[in-house]
This record gives sequence, structure tokens and C-alpha cells, in this order.
Amino acid sequence: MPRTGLWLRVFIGLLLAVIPPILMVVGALLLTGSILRDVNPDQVAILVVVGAIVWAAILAIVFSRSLAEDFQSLLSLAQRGDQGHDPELGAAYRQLADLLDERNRQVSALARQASDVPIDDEPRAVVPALVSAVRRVMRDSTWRCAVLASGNTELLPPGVYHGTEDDQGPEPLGDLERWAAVSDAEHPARRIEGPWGAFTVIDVAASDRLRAILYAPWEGRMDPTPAEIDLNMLVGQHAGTALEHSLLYAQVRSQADELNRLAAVQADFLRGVTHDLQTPLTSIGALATELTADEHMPGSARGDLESITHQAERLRRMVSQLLVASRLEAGVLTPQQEVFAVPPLIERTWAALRADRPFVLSVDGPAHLAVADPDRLEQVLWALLDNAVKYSPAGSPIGVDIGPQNGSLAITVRDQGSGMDESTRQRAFEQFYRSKDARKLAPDGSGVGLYAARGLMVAMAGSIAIESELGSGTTVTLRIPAEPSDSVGE
Amino acid sequence: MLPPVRPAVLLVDDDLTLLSVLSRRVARAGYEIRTASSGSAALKQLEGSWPALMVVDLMMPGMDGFELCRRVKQLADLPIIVLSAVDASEAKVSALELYAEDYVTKPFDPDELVARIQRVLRRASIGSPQISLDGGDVEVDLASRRLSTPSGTHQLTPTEARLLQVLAASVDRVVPTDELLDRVWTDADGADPSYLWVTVRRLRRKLEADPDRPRYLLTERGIGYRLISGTIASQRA
Repeated sequence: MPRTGLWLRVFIGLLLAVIPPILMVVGALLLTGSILRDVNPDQVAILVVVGAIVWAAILAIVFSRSLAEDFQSLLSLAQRGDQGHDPELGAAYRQLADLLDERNRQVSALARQASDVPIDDEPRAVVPALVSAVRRVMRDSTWRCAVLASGNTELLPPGVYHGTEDDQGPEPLGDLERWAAVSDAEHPARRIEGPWGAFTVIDVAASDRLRAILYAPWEGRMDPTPAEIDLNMLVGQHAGTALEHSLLYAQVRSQADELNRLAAVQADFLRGVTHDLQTPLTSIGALATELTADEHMPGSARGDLESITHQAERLRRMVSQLLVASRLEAGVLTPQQEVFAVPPLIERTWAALRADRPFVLSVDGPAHLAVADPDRLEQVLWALLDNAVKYSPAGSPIGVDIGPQNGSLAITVRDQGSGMDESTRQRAFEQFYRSKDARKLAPDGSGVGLYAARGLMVAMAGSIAIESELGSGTTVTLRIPAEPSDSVGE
Repeated sequence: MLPPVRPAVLLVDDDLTLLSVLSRRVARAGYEIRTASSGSAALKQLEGSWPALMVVDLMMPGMDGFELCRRVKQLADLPIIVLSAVDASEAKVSALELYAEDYVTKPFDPDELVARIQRVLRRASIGSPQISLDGGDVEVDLASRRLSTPSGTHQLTPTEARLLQVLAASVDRVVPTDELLDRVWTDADGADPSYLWVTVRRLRRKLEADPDRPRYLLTERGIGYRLISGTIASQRA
């Protein structure tokens, strides 16, 4: 029996099974009408049905043989596929499985190597690491990387880079690399042939600033399969990302280094200037004091000398503020913890300012002694009183209140000056910050006073806070550790 | 009649103006002055005779003040005051505490230097930089201002260390309040008895197991204070 289509044969079978019974019924009807009038129609119908069933049975027996053959052949095919009884098919399956295994290994190796490439290293060290990673992924030690342009020849000079295991620096680019980079360049992963032979080339990156390729000689080897080309493109993308990141990282680091260098230069300058001022200031102050002691000096000269002493003292205090600022920067400020009375210190500091202003000092509550560094607290007070004088109208009073508060002393310095707006108040403790109004009212300020004051107060386990509004004066409150100075227990 | 012996002070600074100004000011306070403008010149001077005290500038070309102090202390326990200008490495200044009795930061008032010279010489005349109480249970190293007690180690302030040193020089005897104020504080400090009360209170917190029932630092009401060496006290008992 010819091996025609299965479903065609089923259709023909059904047709053959149905047509004869229909013909029989038609014939019987004709007969009952003309010849067999006396015959019972029921008997005729039964005869027709039985005949049709017999006919269908005969046909079923005939056709089921060929259908069974078809099913058997399908079953046998399935069994052969399953058990690999066919040597050719089995070999193909194995080859396919091996290829898939290798591809899986390469992809997972690629992921691993991509994360292992040290992008925080110098870019010129990252490229050899990248080549080594590609060699491990591809299991092929002939891969190299040609950097054609990097956007920064210092961080990443153009050249041919080998793997870390080759232990050699980049070699100059040759015609081979230039040709490989441009040949068939519309394909990011490609096999090319030319005067230098056959090569497999992968574009590492194709941005404006960075151009590089990975390449390996491919002479006599099979053309890369579509799957291998896909993998190569993946390698190129990962390598490009790693290289871009390392370049960015190096640039950010070099910018941070530059900022640190500038900050160090600034700190050195500050230290240098203050240091150079320290010794002559000591001499000027000492000489002026010595001359003042001369009883025969005329009155006018004595007045000038007192001005020199006062200005030298003022300069000495400003230098001290800069010293504090530089020591705060270096984190090496260590104030003493001495016991002393605050009111005499405030009076001395106010006197040193020589401000021609009404000054009101009021002391409330039980007597307390501060536990702090008197020299440092004097520096803070000098800065606050100097500010109060500088930023308030001539003739307006300056007030200082002292009173105990929860185991500490609160020292409040008030002026009736121009005050400050909220943003100035918030930035008042920043180093070198001076508001526009401050520059107008006192052009000679350094912007270090309040910065140093806060640093000193914190170092003495105290605090400083400013309350101010534009036009309503400023109140600065210091809190400093203190102890009651009664004789209880003594 | 022989003139009274004036303590000699060796001033070492490379700034000749400052050297001359300081020389005049310190001489006016009654000291014999010797000067040197470098570390090596100072060492040469010391070959001849020893002063009572040396004032050294930290920043000098060639041998700096730190090196000079180190070499001097190898030879003898000469009291030293260091004049320090700004130095980022405050650690160096801290290390100087090993060698220097005191240090003054530039720019300074020469009167302040004279006050410090007087204080250091007074302390140096008191003697021992080590105090040991109660058979070694309590020890004070005045050079590093460290106090060791069975409960732990405490850092003393310069004033607390001076107070202990003065009291230890008359251990087990009462030192009157006025004498303590005079020897522990300078005139410039403007100290009154309340300074002493608060300083003693704070010192007891470091020294005593129970500051409310002091065992070592006792108050002699209306007179002054007494430091008790526990061993002697127990012998007396």
C-alpha cells in the first residue's frame, strides 16, 4: 500500500464507508415501490442497516492495518530519538550540548571577569587586566587590545596592550591595528581578512573620546558562529564599560587630589603667614611695652606708643584666631580645663578692645567658676565683643549677662546693631563666610572669628548660639561648664 | 657683703630682636641672662655652666628646639620653657611635654613669660616630679600630669598638678590657703579662695575613692589643706 498521507487516507475510508449504505437505501426504496410491494418496510430497513455495518467493518479492517503502521513508525521514531539509537543524531545532540556548555561557561566567566577587572586602578593598568580577562574567557592567549584614542593620553596612552601575564607595557600602534579598527567597522564583532591575515575583532568602545578594539589572529580557524559573535559583542560591551568607568574614576580621583592639594596649599599658606607674623608681633608688643615703661617719655609720644601697643595687640588676637582656625582644621586643638572666674575675664577683654561705648556687665544667680581654658574663652569673648562693636551704631550700648544654668554658665552678649537675616545667621559659623552687610560695615574682617569661636566652644565642651533679626540687634549666648564656687564641704 | 645670687636663665631664639627684648624684660625681673641664637650655640654654652632654667624657641634653623630639649634632658634635668609658634603637628608639642615644663605660644606678652619662669623655678625648687601615696596605691607623675589610683588613671590639669606638687612637698603637714594661692596661681590669674575650693573639689573626684569622705586630701577648716601619705597615717594610727 502506497504511503499516502494519514489524514487523506482516513477521509477516503470514511467516504467509502458512507456511500454504499446510502446507495443501498436508495435502491431499497425503489424496490419497495415497484417490485417488493408486499415486503415489510421495517425488514428492508433492518437489512440496509446490517449491510452498512458489515460494509463499514470490512473497510475498517482493511484501513486499520495501514494506520497502525503509521503509528508504529511514529512510536519507533520517538523511541530512537529518546534512546539515541541513531549514531549520527546522537553525535549531533552531543555536539550541540557541548556548544551550549561552552557558551554557558564563557558567559558566566565573562560575568565573573567583568566584576574582577579593577576599575579603581589606573586605566593603563586596567587594560592589561581586561586583556587577561578576555583571554581567560576565550581560552585563547593571543588576544590583545589596541587603544586608538582615549581622550586623555596621560591617563591612558594609545598603544597595543598585552595581558598582565605578559609583563610588558603598551607597544606603539601599527598599521595592523589601524586597519583592524576600520575594516568592516559597521559590525561591532567581526572576522576580517586582509594583507596581515585573518583576525577576529571586537570593538571595545566607540564613544567620541574612547576608541579601542580587542583582536586575535584567526588564520586557519573556523569562522565565528552567530552565537560566538553574540558573545564577542557582549565581551566588547563589558570591556568598554569597564574602561569608561576606570577613566571616569581616574578623572574624579585626580580632581579630588587637586582639590585636596589646593586645600593643603591654602592651609600651608595660612600656617606660613601666621607663623611669620608670630615672632615679629611678639617683638613689637614687647618693645612697645618696654618703651611705655620709660617715665621720661613725652605725653604725645606715649599716646602714639599706646596706639602701637593696641594695634599690635589687635593683630596678635587676629593671628591667634587664624591659628585656632588652622588647628581646628588639623584637629589638634586641646584646650585646658582650668577653674576661673568669668566676670574679671570679660572686663579685661572689654578693656583690651578700647571701644568707646557704654558697657553693662550683669552677673545673676549664685557665684560660679568656669571650668575651661581661660585663654581660649578670652579669644571667644574678644571675637564676640569685637563683632558687637563693629556691627552696631556708634554710641549704642553693649551688654553682657552672666548666670548659672543647669551646671553651666550662660554668657550672653547683646548689641543693638543691624542684626542679620536668617540665611546669614545660619551661615555665620562658616569659615571665611562674610555677608554683604558685614563686608560693608567692617571691610577688614577675616570671616574666621565666629568659626574659631564655635570650634573653641565645642572643644571646651560648651556651645554657642546666635539669635538675631534684621534691624533688631544680635544676641550670642555661650554655655560653658562651671561649678558653684561656694565653700560647701571646705 | 656678697650680692644675692640671681638665678640664670638661658634664652635660645634665632630671632635676635626678640632675644634682645626678652633679655631686657627677663633681666628686669631679677634674673641673670644668657643668650644663644641657635641650638648648637646653646649646647656650647651649657658646656661652661648650667643655668637654672632654659627658654627655647621651637622653630629654629639647624637644630630645632625639640632636638635641643632632647639632648639637654639627656645630660641633666634642666627646667625648660618652650616658645612655640604655630605648628600643624601639635603632636610634636604634646611630645614636648616630655621635655618641657611649660610652653608659651607666640605671640605672647613678655610679662606672661616672666610669670611662667617664676612659676617653673618655684616648682623646680620644690623637688620630686613623682608622688607616691599609700605605699604606691596612688601615684602621680607630675611631668606627664598623670594620676594613677586603684580605680584608674586620670589626667590632671596643670593647676591640679601644681597643687599636688606643693602639697606633696609638705606631705602630712597643713599648707595654708594663702600659701597655696600664692604658689599654685600667678598674680595674673587673680585667684581667690574659691579657686582653691573648686580645684580641690575637682581633684578629689580623681584622687579619692569617696570624694565626700576624703582620705588623702584633707581640709583643715579655716587654715588650709593637708596631703596625707597613707602609709605614714597608718603608722601613726
